[in-house]
Amino acid sequence: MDPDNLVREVTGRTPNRYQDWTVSAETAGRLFDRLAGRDGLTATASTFARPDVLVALGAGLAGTGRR
Amino acid sequence: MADRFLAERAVSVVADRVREERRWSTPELLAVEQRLVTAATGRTGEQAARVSHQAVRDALAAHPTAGQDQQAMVRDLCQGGQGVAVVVGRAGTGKTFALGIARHAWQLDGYRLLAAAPTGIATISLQGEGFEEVATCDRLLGDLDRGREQLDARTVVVVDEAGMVGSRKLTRLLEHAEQAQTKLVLVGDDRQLARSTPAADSAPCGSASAPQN
Repeated sequence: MDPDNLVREVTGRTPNRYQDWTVSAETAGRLFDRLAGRDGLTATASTFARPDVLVALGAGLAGTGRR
Repeated sequence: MADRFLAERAVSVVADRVREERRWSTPELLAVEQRLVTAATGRTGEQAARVSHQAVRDALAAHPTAGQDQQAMVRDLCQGGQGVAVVVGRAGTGKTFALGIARHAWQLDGYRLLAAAPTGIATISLQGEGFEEVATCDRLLGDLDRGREQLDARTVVVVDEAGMVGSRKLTRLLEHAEQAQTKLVLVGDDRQLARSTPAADSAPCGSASAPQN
């Protein structure tokens, strides 16, 4: 069984195994600006830990273009 | 990427020894908190809302159950003259009761009292101590921003549970008070920190939600 064919039959999509997941400097910069701003990581608390940053980065990047 | 963010955009502020976890903040919030401290310490030399000895004596006489600490707190608040006064104490130590006595003394000398707290439930405690004009901090700030509420040098603003008010909101409140030369009294428990849920932007309503930072 070809997994890619199976995915295509079920979802109608073709998986792109060679997609570049690199986050562009522009996207990262915009996200960093947002997270460091008043509505970012300190919107509801004075301090944060590294895991909070990971979660916020994940949430910020989900669904955005990577390039 | 997280490490890059922390290196480029965050400032290490403290390490939680219990959880062995480093905590960070942002330059933006640290600047806000620096303004907060500067605004508060810059008003120490004022003679804001000083009450006569007689008014303090009368207010204390009307509350004979007040302890030594509470009497000292009332004298300091009403006669200390600081533009921004801070009262720190654990929950249940009678801070709000003593605030009620101070409220009495200020009113005896003709001052207007405005009381605020971060939550509706906390405002109910203030009403129980005789504060008549009470609102949540969000409501008070909204009214001040829109010009529906006016402060002046004959007004005293008391904020109970101030440790639960976010730094940005507290800074705005300090700026309003400073512009009007209004005495601001911040009361709270330094072990009680601002939580993470948004506040109800409303009058006292019994809500237990806490404000945004």
